[in-house]
Amino acid sequence: MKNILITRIILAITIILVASIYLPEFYWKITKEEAKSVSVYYSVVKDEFVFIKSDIRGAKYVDQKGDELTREEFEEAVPLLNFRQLFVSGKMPDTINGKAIEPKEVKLNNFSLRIRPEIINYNLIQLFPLMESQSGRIRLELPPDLFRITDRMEFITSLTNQVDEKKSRAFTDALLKEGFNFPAKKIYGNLSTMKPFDEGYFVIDSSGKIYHIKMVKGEPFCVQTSIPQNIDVAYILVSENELREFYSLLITKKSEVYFISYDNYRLIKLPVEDYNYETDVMTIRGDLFNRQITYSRENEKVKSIVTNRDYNIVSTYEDNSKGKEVLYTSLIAPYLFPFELSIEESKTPMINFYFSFYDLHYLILSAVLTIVAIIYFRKKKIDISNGLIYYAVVLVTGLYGFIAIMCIRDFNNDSNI
Amino acid sequence: MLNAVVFKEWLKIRWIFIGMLLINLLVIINTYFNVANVLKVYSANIFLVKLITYEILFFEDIMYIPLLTGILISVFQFFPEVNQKRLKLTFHLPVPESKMLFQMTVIGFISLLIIFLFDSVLLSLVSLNFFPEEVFKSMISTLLPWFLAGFCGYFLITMVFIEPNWIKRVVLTLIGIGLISLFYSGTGYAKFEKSWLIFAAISFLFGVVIYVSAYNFKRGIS
Amino acid sequence: MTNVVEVKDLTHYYGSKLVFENMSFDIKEGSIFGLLGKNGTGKTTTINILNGFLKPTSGKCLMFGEDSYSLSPQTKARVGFLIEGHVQYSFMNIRQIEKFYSAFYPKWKKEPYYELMSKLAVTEDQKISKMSCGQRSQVALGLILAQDADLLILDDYSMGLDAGYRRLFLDYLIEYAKAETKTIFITSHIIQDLENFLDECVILDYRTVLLQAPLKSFLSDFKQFKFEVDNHNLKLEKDYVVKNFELVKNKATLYTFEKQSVVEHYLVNNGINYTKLAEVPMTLEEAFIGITGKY
Repeated sequence: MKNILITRIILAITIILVASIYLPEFYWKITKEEAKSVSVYYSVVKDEFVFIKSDIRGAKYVDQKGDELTREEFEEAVPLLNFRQLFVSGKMPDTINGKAIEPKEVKLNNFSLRIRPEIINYNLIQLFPLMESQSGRIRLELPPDLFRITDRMEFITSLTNQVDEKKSRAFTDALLKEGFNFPAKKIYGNLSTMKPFDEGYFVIDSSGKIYHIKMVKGEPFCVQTSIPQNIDVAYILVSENELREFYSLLITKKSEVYFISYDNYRLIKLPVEDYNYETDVMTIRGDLFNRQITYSRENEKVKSIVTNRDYNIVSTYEDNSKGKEVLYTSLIAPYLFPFELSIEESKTPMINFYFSFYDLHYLILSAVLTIVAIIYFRKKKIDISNGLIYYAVVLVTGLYGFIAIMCIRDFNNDSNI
Repeated sequence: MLNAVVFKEWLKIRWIFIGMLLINLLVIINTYFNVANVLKVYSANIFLVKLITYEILFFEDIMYIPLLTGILISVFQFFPEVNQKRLKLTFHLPVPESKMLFQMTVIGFISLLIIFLFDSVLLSLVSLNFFPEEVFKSMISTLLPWFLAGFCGYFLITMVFIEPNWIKRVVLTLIGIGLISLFYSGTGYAKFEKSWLIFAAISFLFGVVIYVSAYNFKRGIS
Repeated sequence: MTNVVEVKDLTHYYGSKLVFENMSFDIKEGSIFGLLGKNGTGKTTTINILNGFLKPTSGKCLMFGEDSYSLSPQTKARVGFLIEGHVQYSFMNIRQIEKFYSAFYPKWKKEPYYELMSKLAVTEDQKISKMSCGQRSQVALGLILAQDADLLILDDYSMGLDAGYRRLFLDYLIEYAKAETKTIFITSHIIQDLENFLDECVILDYRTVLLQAPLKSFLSDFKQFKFEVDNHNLKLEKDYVVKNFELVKNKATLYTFEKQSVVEHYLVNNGINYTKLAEVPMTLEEAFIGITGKY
């Protein structure tokens, strides 16, 4: 090797890479704190927010003033969510806000959606089952085939692994009639059969138009929606719901949130601010009176917005205190590690290199370790004169670099092999 | 001279090469029948939808086989070299040592490449036989990090064999295990889709570290 | 005459343990040079430095004028190297190993190799790993001869060989060395075989070189004198006269480079009452033990 220096530096980089992944991982593993979580609910009865604070010891029910509630008090404060329990124990009020309460109606109007950044980043295999939306059966059934939309819409029969030409042609023709530009850019749908009915898929064609595709009595149902072509879609969460108010939730790349309504695909904008689909978990709950949109960022904030059924804000709750409640382990970490490298991230299932930098506090330890290294190599009479670059590495990469040069220990560049 | 090096390396690894080819083949045949039998019990569409939504890796039997292949090829190629310090003979040949080492590792690398290509082709045939080509594409992307782990395993064992110092051998082993474990992160299909090129670059840079061991060998053999 | 190998002020440490200090010697072209020393005196270390498998702590080691730590391929091709224990690629058979090496050496002559092999009771496709130690030594020798190297470096050629194979080995080397320009550098722990073989030798002791001299002058100049004394506890320190001294009961042996008259004078001067002083001739092995001591 003509230049042993370069190969040693590659070794050093490898050590630093591996150390910066495993050391922080190990550190967080041994200093892991107990999990705590807060769920935010809106009490239509009390007209304020109530909370479930849970940790490993169990759940605590708290109102907005911080007073503890019993479980029963909590359930009575959020009657529509807990309607089953309240009907059984006979504590369900007859009327709420002057409206008579029917169990059937409560059930119909209750829904809940949850969207995590991870879902948006999923790279599922792009093959989809198109269910019969009006089979006349009680339960939905998977079709015998899966479709893809490349230069046409193709159905592949799973048993034979062959294209069903007739079905493919029928759907392709139906799409062409609607002006669909092949291939599809994105296909969104709900693959579950555990839902009351099937609304098929929302598909973005290559020109950015959004289509609704489903199958009705074996025939294609393909329509171009009225959703503007220039809307930059990050994700569409299709969720079939007996209420039939909206087909799905649409999130744009600007983190705007819309429902695609049954009213000719009209977009209903939800009044969310500083929501970020790349980092926040969002839950949307609906009931007879309200919509509650809650989004939270890990260890930073939680925000909950309550609207009426016309999506006008009724009440807002915001808590940024999570960020202030800093744990001692997080305080120490910046002094130990110059940066952390991780190849897995909670916000995405994809493997990649995710850096997190702290600040320059680590330089204190770096300086100490550099001095330790200098003294050590002097004492051991290890000649490092050609390798001053290694000390620079320790200074910049701190603990990781220190481990690297302690592992290499040999810095002669005098000859070749 | 290259022919002679190829000849010598082939003499060392031919049986393990053929043996590993067979083991890889058996694992893939097993995979084939596993899938075929699942499809005799479940209807194909239900299995396929499950495969997609739960990200079932129908070929996961092969997961650690490339790593094993890389390790064994290195053992058979380099144990005879370091046993009784035969590497002295090799380095005494009238060829620059780095060139000799490069040729030897490239031969090991190519033999691994052949086995991994063989795996890829056979598994592709299995996949395309049962499933649409989307599954095959995702499968290839899932296999890549396992193959990279195989190359890293080969490089690791090679440098551990050549390195004369026991402490450094332990250090290299720890680094290597740390690196190789990364390739088995994530669950599901094609999770390295966006990063496999970086991981490939890191793997091949890791191969360069063999020269550090060779340098130590030449500098300090006793 | 030119020097094939030049070693100047060679010093080597393993960690903090000194192996030898300021070792210097030259090997002339065409000579048979022996590096003799007891186990652990640094014979293999010297050979490793010479072949570029060890970076010396300090000092210089030149082979054909090149720094031995970074020899060019051309120079390596001129050097035949026998590793301690006749180690070869034991996974090859007789034919394969010849085919392998022939690709690297432009002057390769396969005849001497196959001639040697034909004398062994082995088939051409027998693996080296399945041969006896003696047979393996012949394979290693045959390969070095076929290489037609200008300098042979043989690290303990005698290891594990019985008398017959040792003789066979040396016979071939003598034949090889008849050519004027061929140089042989040899180490061995069986000294007696080398008596009529070496031109020149270096004798190593722990940490130091005891002697470098042509073998003939060493054998003629180095003498042992036996005599009897009354004092059973007599001790003589090594000095300019006494190179070694042993006493068993009343029988004393003194090793020296000096003449008998000088020894007599020395003993008288030191007030030693001796009787029956006589010079006793030595074999190389006895001389070697005499200069290095039994322990």
